[in-house]
Amino acid sequence: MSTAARFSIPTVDSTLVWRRTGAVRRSSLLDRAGVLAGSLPGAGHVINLCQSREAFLTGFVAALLRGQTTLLPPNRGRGTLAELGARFETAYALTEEPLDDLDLPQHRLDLQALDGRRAPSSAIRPEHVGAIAFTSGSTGLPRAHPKTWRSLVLGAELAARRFPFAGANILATVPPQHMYGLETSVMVPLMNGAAVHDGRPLLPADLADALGELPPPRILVATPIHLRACVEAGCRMPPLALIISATAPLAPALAERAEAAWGAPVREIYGCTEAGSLASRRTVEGDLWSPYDGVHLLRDGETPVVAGGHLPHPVELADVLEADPSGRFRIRGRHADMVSVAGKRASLADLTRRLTSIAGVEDGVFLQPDGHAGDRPGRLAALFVSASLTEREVLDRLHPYVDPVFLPRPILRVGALPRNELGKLPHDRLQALLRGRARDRDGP
Amino acid sequence: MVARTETDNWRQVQAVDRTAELELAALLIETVNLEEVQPEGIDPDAPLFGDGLGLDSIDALEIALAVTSRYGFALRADDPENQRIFASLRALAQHVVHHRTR
Repeated sequence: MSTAARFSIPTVDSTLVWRRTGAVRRSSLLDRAGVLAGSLPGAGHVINLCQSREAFLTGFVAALLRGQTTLLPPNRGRGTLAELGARFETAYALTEEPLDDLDLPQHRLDLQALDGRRAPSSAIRPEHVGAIAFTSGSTGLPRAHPKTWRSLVLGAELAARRFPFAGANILATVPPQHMYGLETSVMVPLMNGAAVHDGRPLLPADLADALGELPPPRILVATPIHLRACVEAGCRMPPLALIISATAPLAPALAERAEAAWGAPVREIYGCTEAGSLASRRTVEGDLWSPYDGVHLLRDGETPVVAGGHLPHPVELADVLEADPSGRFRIRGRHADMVSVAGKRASLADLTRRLTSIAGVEDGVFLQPDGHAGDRPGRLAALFVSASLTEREVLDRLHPYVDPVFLPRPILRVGALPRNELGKLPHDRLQALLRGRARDRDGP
Repeated sequence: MVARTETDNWRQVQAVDRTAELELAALLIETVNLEEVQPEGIDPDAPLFGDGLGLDSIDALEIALAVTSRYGFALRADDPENQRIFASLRALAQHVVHHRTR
């Protein structure tokens, strides 16, 4: 395939999105995206907050046609969005419904109002930064990870080589604003001949209903939390070709139950915001991961580096990996600062900094309580010292900047944190304080 | 006489509703480990998600499982008629009363 063809959005006409009310053809969506492109504000960056796949896809393509970069906010907190707006001066939000309290210009995407034919399609330059994803780090503002159109297209190609996406119908439970969702529910349908369900169901019964609205072959793209809920609920699913899980390690026991219940293989994708998807495995087959074609480890161990495939340059990963002579690898763990709650990654140091920067908080720390099971969300706890603020008040001040899943439970006000002579907070003393205060609060 | 009967009926319905709300509140508190909250302390009209009780999507999943287990039916949030079931404790309790099979 010529370079131009490889990086152009295919125009072969077929269903691209399945709405409850019927199929949305690729040609219709691309026409509407072309019309929308003409009406977008002149700006370098757009924060696409659309919730439906059709709206997100339309906005995403429109931005590409206009040479704009789509920002993928790490969460929808108003504070986070305002920070992005300040950092990317011309950024505006693209929304289906106007949002309150948003300190950003908004452009409304009304799919019904987009009528007409698009201009002949302009090619999207491979080097155009199609999207920017963000990760929280231990220093300052979230780190930006620009994704060129080339790397997005190649990433989707590699995924489509690994999984039977071509001609399939996908239901995704993850938002399009997350790299996993962007790749599987936006790029793969757009570029690799799949169709995607418009919705983003959460509850097991809704998930089963949505799958029933798709023709076969059906592929479910989900996370361990969703799979566990559906298995526990005893959902009856229509026949599935494949179940994909990502964002957190899936317990083999849960994968076995899912395969037995639904008669479809459960396969996982390993990846991260910095690098995108990198490898896959069929969970029940063991703990070795197979890298995507061309992806390889330059270095394993505590600070692994991965390169090749769709990656424009080598990327350091936050997990501890152990290479196998076969070219596959095992995941041995995470760096201590990085925690995962319900599949979302955060830096404890970053959250702690958010906490201690609240006016009135004299000292504070986020921690992950010992003894949480891998299958459970693994909620974080927080301890703080303040003469003036209650727990509720501190939570309210965290809320605009922090993804809801990271809001601490419990959050406890204490007289002092158990810092040692070096000013550090030893793990055992912190955990003991947490257990003790929780016990005191709950009574004997 | 008619007026008093209607008032009595209204009071009885209110009592049933309130009982259902408190029972559901206790289930929510237990399910998502809201240890510092009492059932009577939840404002029945306050939002369950975001502000108010501050629940999130993970809690929604846990609640759906608990409701299935206790009340014998599956919660659906996407049904156009039921999009508001998580709007408040009152809304969810009314939904439960309407659909429970045990």
